Amino acid sequence: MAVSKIQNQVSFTQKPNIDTNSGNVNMERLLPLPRKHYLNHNEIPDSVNRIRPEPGQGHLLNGGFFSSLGRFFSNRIYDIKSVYKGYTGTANDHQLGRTNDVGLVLGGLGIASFLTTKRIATMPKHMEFIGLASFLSSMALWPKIGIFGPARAVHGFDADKRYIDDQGRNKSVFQDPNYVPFELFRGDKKSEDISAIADYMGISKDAPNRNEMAKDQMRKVATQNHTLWMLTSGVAVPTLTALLCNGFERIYEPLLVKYKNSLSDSKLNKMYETLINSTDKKHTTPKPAKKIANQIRNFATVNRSEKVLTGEQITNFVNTVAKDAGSGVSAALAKDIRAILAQPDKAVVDNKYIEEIAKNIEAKFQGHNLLKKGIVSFDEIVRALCPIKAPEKNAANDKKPSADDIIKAFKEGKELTKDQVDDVIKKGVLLDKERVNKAITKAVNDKLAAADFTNTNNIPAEKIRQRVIDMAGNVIRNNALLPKSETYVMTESAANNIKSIAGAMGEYLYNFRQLRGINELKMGNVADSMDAYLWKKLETAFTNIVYPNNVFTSKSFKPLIDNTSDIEKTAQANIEKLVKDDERYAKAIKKIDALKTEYLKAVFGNDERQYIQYNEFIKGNNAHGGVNWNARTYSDYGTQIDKYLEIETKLARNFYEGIEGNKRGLFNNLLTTITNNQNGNNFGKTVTFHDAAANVKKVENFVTACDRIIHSLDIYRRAYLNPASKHVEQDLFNEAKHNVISAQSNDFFARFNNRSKSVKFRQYMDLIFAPNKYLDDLTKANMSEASRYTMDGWIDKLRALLFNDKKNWQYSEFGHNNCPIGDTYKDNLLSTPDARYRAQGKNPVEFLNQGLKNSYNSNKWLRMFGGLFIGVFSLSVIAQFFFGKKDSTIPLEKDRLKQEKLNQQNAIDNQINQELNEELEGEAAHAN
Amino acid sequence: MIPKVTGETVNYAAGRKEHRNQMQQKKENEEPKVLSSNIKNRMMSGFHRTANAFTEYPAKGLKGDINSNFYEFLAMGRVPYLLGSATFIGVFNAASQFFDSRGMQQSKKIGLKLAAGVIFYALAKTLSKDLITRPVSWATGIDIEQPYLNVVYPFPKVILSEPPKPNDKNNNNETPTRIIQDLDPQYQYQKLWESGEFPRIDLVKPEFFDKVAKKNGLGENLNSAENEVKPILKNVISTATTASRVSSFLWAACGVALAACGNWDSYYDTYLSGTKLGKNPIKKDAPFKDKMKARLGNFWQHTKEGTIALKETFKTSAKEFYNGAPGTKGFKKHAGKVLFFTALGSTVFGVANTIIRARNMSKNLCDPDVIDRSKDSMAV
Repeated sequence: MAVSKIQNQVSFTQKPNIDTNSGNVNMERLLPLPRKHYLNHNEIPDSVNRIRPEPGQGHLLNGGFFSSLGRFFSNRIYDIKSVYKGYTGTANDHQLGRTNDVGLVLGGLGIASFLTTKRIATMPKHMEFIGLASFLSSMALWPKIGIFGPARAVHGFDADKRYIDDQGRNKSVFQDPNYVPFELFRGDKKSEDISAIADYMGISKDAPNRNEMAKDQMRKVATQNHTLWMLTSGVAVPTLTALLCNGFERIYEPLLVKYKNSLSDSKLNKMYETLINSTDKKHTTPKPAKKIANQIRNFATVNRSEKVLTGEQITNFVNTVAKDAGSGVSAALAKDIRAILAQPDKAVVDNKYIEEIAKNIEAKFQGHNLLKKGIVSFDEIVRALCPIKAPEKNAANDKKPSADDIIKAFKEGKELTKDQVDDVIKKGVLLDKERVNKAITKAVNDKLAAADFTNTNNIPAEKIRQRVIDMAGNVIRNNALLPKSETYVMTESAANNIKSIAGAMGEYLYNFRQLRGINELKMGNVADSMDAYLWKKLETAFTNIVYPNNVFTSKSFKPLIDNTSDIEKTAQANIEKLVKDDERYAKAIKKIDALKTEYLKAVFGNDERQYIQYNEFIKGNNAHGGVNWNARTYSDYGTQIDKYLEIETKLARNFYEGIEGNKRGLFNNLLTTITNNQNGNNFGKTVTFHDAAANVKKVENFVTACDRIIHSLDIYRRAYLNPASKHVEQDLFNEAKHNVISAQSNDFFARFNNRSKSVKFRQYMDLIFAPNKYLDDLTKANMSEASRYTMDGWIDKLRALLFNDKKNWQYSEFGHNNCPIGDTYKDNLLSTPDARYRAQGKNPVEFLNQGLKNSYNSNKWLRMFGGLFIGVFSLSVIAQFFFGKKDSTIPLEKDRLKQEKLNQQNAIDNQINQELNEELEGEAAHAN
Repeated sequence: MIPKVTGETVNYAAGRKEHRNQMQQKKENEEPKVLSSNIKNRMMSGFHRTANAFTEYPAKGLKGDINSNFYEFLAMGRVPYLLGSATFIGVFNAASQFFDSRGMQQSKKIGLKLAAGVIFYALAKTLSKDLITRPVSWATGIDIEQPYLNVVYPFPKVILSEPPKPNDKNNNNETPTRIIQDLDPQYQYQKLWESGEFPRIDLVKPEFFDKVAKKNGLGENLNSAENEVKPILKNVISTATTASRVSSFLWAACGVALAACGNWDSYYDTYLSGTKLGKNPIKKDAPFKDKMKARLGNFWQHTKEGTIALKETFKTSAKEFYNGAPGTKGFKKHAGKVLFFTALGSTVFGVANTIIRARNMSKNLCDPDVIDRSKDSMAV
């Protein structure tokens, strides 16, 4: 296009001076026109018609935020186009260069996508992509903030300036020091004005070739900075990437946790709507549920024709169908199916089976002189099973019987040829054990009948034979010689029985998996579930409360780590300091309390006081799984945990009702596992909650941990406020202070029980476990209602656990007769280490140890990466002051100004001198 | 004789004249020359670029030298790669000693995994380029990796010596003397077909064009093979370069994925982090010969066992990469396969695309409707 425009502009003021036909050249044209120097060709008036180039399209780009952002996207489009052009073979060098960047991103995406498959939780999966994005942005960011930013501040121009060339390509001005398009610095803006840059550089204003000097300086500084960029990127980009990732993770993780939490809620609500609240009677089975049901039906149908299955086949089938179905369900299903298919009276008779019988007979008969004569061989047993028919002469003309006919004939005991019998035995045939036993008896009897018993003492041989036959009969009786094998046969009726649960089983398994997935989002054992996240937060919060400002002091954490006695010492000292400061103390209580409330809200909806009612409800039940499902109308409260319980109950009930009444007896194990219903004959009052029970424990774990922390702080506060009061002695406080923060699950109860039942001990217990009496006002004031309630509940429970033995006096002494925890509950609560742990809460010293470790590690990490980055950054900033050192030939503005001042001074001096001289001369003249 | 750079001051005019003579001589002696595309030359070129990228080029660049050029800037582009990898590996491995035992193990594990990843990335990226360039070179006769040794004559730099001090009575010169620097030619290992717009066709012999014309089906004894081959050359440079750029990054991704599978960390831990496996005891007061013998024995044993373990580790990780970790399904199971076949596909497509396009172009050129070869033609 440019060329055609030029051609259009070809016109001459004079007549055409080249005669193309004759080749004559008008000599006048060659005479030089009067020239006007230094006139920009764009400014030549149109009236002067002559060949001239198109005005240049190239221009410098400014670095404004929005224009850079816009360019970022247009550049990416250009990159993709470049790859396309590259593949079609039409790319120019600039475009070929861009393909490298596209390759880098593609490869990076490949790596990130692959590495997500190696991560389990959502957060690390996302972090792979965040890492890639951080890496790419670090590469772009580092030169801006570390190299060219400081360079601009020191030298007054942007050494990373970009321009659009005449072909519209985006390039860097100073990338190639041998080709710098200085003509684009047209002076429209200050940043594009060479003389302004020269001013900044301090080049003398009256220097000859001033702009050239500035350009040389610019080239020099730009080359130096580009080199610095290459040298520092290797250290700066990885560290900056790590820092960006870390920073982003801190912002992103809470958002993700919140999102997962609300996703869990909304999914649970949706499930609740469809399963419980829906009045729509037209129930459609979801596809995956149908798939599971079909799997079960296929298993029954395919094998229906008396097919023999091994135990392993059944287990494999169950594991594919019912995996992730919760503990026990797949095992119970397998057990029931085995029971349905088991055929104790039948056995698959094949070579191996008969060989084993032969072996057994030999083993039993061998040791006996007379019985020995009845040992039968493999062939003899086979012949007894099925008589051999002599080959017929015209057999060739007969139709060959089918395999099924042969088997049928075999089972009926008809005569068959030897080949046919061998074939059947080789493949194996399902026979009644009784028949096999009869055949063995027959074979043995035949053998004995033919045996010679004459050689014995005076007893008649026939009599001996009869005795031996009787003996053999006794040995063989009751299938004693048959190999022990389990035979599972899929009969028509068994297939129908199994099919009868297909629909209900499919629905149950599908829904259960859905429910479990929903639960995983909130309460899963992954770092970005609400449960794990709040634990981490609690750990950090408590550590920061006890060891404030740890960012700068974490170096001192190293000796503390894993040294519990030192942690306790320092923690005691720090907490004692903390409780003296009302404001800080209130803040600390509030902080822990807020986390507790956050957890409760996540589980019990926005009204965390639901926990109070929930707690009361749960107290009346067995917290270990079975909860009286109709003891409470869940919808009254509508909390997430209630909905969860209700859905689990509903699923169990649906499953129960989905099986025909007369078939339920067949699935005893399954029904017992799923519905906690002892004999499967009716749907009982309690159901087993697989995940709901685990959730209950998780809530308790967290809440108790918070309570113990608050309670521990409170003890310290009271010790500070009531030093050795008449009510409580100081050493009691000291013991309490020691125990509340350091008692482990192993020695928690021991520490209290070790004290004799003295009056002091009573006071001691009163001190620790009487919140309503002694809980500090400031502590109470900073706790929410629900939190105070759980605190009371926790302490009640602990007291009950320690003293609710009716023979003990302590409990009644404290006057808490209304404590609702009964003996059974106590036994339950203390039955396992896990339960004991849940009852007493996490040991605060243990908490601090973990927190200090994490704090130390992350600080170490931050110091290392941050330090490295700051080091490189400062180095590159300092380097700027060594760059662009001016040649001694470049005159400096400050020298010029100095000289000017000097000149002015001289001029003034001269003038004064002159005036003085004149005066002197005048005086002299006057004197003369 | 050219004046030495170091501090020797010369008369500027005389220096200039001498310099000019010297330059002329050198120009006659040193011309850019094409190197054969063998492993030695390619390694030499890599070594030359890398060594200079860490030494001479930054020294020049940091001074803002007028002779610091774009080639040197591009060569320095590998510094961040190498230094960055070293930083990544170094920081994680060095950091491990500061952490507590659990943190140390974690950090070490990450560090070793990273090290494996970085090494595999670099290996896969470098080696996979041949998957494109070799077949293209065989099929079209154009080897885009073809190196040549470029000779660049720098700008003679004339700088002023320090101006004489006013009080120096020994110095009679009134004007400062001049020093000439940087007169030796600079060598650059470049690639003939790096640029599609300015391919160095001036450096190859005419036989090259005949060979390429023949290989791509343009025929033999052409009037002007150079003119006919040029568009094909340009096309191949574009397609093959794009293909090798894109696919080499995908292969590099496969390399990282491979390092993430299997237990490379335990291999590294056992065989590379200094744990001596040899069982020959080295006694302190034993004679030197015996000690050496024991050491060599240990080294040999270590190497032998290490090689076997390397093979085994590679096998298991390749299996896990391709088949997925045991017990996985869906994307988790097949991600490795997808990545592998994407890389393989991009390679096969890249090669096929390059060759077919080159062939098609020559077919079009041979089309009598385009150029009638039976008639005489003249290059215009």
